[in-house]
Amino acid sequence: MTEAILELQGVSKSFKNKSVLERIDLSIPRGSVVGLLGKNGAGKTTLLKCALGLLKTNSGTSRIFGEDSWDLSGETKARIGYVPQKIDLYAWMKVRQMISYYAAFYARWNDALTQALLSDWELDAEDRVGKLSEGQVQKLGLILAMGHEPDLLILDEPAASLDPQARRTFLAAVIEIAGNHDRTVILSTHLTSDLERVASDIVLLKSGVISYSGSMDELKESVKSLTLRTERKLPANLVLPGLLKCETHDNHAVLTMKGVTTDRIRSLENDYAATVEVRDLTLEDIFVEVHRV
Amino acid sequence: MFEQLAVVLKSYNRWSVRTLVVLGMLWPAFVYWYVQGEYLDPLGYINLFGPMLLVFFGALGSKAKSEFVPFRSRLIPHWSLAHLAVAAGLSVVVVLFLAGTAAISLHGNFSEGHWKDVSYLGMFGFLWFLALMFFSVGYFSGPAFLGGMPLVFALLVFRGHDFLRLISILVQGKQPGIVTIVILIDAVGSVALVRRMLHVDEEMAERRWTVTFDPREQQRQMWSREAPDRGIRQNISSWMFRSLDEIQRPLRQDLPSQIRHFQLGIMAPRGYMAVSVLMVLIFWTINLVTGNPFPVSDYFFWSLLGINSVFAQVMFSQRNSFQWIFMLPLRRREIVIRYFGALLTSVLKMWFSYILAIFVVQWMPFPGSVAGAPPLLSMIESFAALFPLFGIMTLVLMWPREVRAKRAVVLVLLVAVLITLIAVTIGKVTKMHEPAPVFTIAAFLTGIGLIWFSYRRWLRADLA
Repeated sequence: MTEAILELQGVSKSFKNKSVLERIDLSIPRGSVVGLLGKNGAGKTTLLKCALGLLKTNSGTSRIFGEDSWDLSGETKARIGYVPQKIDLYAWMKVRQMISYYAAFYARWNDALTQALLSDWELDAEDRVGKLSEGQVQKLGLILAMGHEPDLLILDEPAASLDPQARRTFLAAVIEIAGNHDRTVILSTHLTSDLERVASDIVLLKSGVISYSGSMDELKESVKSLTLRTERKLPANLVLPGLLKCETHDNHAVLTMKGVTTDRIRSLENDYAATVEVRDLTLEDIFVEVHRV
Repeated sequence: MFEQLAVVLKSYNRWSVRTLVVLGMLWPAFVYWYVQGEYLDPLGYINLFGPMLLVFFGALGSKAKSEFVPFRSRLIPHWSLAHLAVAAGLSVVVVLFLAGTAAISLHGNFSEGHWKDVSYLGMFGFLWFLALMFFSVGYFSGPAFLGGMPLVFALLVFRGHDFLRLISILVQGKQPGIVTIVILIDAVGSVALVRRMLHVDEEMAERRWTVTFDPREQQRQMWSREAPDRGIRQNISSWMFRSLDEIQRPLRQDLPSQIRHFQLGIMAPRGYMAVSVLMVLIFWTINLVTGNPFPVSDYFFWSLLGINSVFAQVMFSQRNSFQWIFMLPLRRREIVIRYFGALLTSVLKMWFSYILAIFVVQWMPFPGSVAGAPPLLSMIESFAALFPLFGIMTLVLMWPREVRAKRAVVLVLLVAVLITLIAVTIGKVTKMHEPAPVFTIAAFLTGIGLIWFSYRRWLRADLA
């Protein structure tokens, strides 16, 4: 069995009386690229911060590399790279000074990688950090998080402010990191197209609860769009297990269902004397449909 | 129209309104305390009014900026007029309230001798000028309207000096021509400002300057104004932060080296001695111009300034930084110790540079003229005050921005009570009757306890 890099058990977190995470169980294996998906306010950032020990959980345990997240040792932190959603770097420093300041904390720092990313992302090392646009700060945050070549890279909405070219470079960097099977990436984002390109696993978070956790392929395999065509009139409200969405038009219906198997398709064909056409959904379609119910 | 006015009135946030109401309730008591049965001359009256006008009109200007500068004022019908009407109405209400309650509180404390030749029109003109100036500072700089504080500071520093003599000319009405000019300036300035507010567009200065309450955006705006070429500002900032170019990698493992490294992250510049030299030169210039030695009696002020110099920018911008600072490859406890160490070292250095300057200026008020050594106890008191202030500020820094102000007020009151209780206890135990040394010891002990408490809280706090 693959070793779990990050393990949450029964983690709950609330702010004042508002519950944000409820009894989260999650295990992230080494070498995976995990996409964390959820609507705004679903608890993605809180989940990542609890996992990193930046927020104290109300209950449950969180461990990274086997250590309690709340009191990570320096050695373990040196194996983690993190880009927060909102990153405040030191405005008065120049980009190269910020990198030097940060790099000094790490025993191992890849200057060649840093320089390559600076060049690819067209960041001027002599610019002051405070002068950078939001997208440029995001790029610098990514460089700082990747410079020490962490074993675990946690990125909270990393590509939101990047232009298409920078996003492509960033995704290429993530793919390269993912290519090394010892490295693990956890990526929270709304950009489902990005996730489809890089993520091997998906965690769907809905109102503080994990509604799906597993491989991307399994998710896409299990949620399908079905078009039923029959000679007779179909009921307006079809009641079927795993039904996420149903649009009925007299003798045909378009269904979005999870848990679609060959047996279930056959069963639908028999029950309604219908022909069933199966269509794959994109991750974005799945995301929308899962959050509709 | 009335509905629009009511809606606009509701747009004033509750915290500001509450603060205003509380200040308003405290105002008569403050006036009573300020006067203390003494006769108040017109200059005293202006001194009394100045800070209140700063607070109110500075905040009103800042609020006006948030309403007039964004696109809404140009796209929503009657937006500007409704906001202008409410701002004007509020100004009248507040000014009448201040003047009315002050007049009642001052009843019986007017000396005919002091007010015999006073030009009420001159006083009115000057106060109008102050209100307009504070409003403009708030309007053009937005939330950073506290930048107007140096003006109040200047009023305090120059009290009894030439600056107030200039005001005297106005309020004593001996030169009606000047009064007329000031009133004219006020009127023209007010009309011009209102006209500008009603016709503001995206290319005007107030749009380019700070509009946002987001510290990251404010910092971006601040640093983006820096010239790209190597101008004098670049050279000064390069000198101030030269140590950033000398960072050793990897970082040495001893505590002092790591504290020094953390200091770079709290914008602690080099050149503390340069601050002292600059201050001495400024004070000597003031003394030479006014012919009087600069009066320095309150050393506590310099403790506050030392604390403020370090914490102001940290407080303003850095809470969002904690989420990556606390992911640096050190244990949480180690990070807190180094961060506290860096803050405390910077505070002590800033305080020392101020105190050194004050010591020199008191010892030698004019270049080459020695007056004698200033009292050592005042400096020790000022030093002791740093510790409770440091404890308070580190706790405040830890709290989320939304609750800081409220909790800070309670904390300051609690610490004041605690220091008093400890001082009384020490006085009783040691039978010392002099309050100054007893309070100094109490402040120091409370400060150390508070810093320890704060450290423990930081270890358990959500810092992201």
